Amino acid sequence: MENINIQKTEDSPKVILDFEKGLIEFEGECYPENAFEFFEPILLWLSDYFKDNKKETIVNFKLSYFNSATTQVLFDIFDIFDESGHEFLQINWFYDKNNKGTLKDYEEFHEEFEDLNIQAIVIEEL
Amino acid sequence: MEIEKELELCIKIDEKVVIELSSKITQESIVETAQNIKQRLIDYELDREKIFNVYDVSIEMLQNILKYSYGNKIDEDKKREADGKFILRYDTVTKEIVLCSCNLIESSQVDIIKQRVDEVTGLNEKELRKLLRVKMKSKRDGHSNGAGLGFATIATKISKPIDIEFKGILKDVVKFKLEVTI
Repeated sequence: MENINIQKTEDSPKVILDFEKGLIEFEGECYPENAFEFFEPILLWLSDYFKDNKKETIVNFKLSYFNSATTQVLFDIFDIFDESGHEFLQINWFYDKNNKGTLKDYEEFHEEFEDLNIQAIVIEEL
Repeated sequence: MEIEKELELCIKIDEKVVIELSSKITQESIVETAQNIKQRLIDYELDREKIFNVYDVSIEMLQNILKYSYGNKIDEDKKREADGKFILRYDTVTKEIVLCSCNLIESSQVDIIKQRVDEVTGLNEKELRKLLRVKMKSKRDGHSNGAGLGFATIATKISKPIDIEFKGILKDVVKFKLEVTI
């Protein structure tokens, strides 16, 4: 399975999808013109990754801002995590201590996907 | 009859235009506008939470113009270009920020927008969050037309109800004004 590395731009995040390391990471701002197009290969990769794969996996969300279209796609991503039934999946949701919005977003996902192991990590500035 | 399109994308502080950016709205001009808004508000030493909210809502409003404006153009790389107007007014005394967008839409959109604004009007934060979760789960709504989720998202970040106005321009074209206060 090929890894995916996408460089950060002003309106799209850095994305690391590393099969060997079991690392999935999103970092930066996310409001591309077409969020669904941007995330399409990512969703496909994640669906493949979680197919019969039970290796230890870390997911880091370090998103300082994302638009409503991205919110919808994030929900799809959490659906993939949830439906995988993966036991060794740790999801870290980083949020800026001055931005309550990103903490509230964490609360939404945490409440909606109560079977997933999601923890919020506060940092000085995201 | 030629449709008069109001083309203005600017930031106003105490009613004075201090930055004039671009008349055509594209994804690139939205990025530029958002960065300018953030920097300007940081310069004014506004509360960080308010800056985040203004930044988030501005991007939602501008991307709505880009996606739904009547007569918007899409090139072969699927890049859009739209005509519209976006103004940020900041009152340095009250610290209130008003964001206003204006663009043309198809008249068939009017009832949809009214319905979406109605469903968020009067809801408290808890109720809005509940509605957001329902909308997040609704692939049908979100993937084909994100404005429903967009209005609910905007509503969680504003201090007064969303104000909308429609004015008929042609049989199937309406001028749509959206104003929010943060």
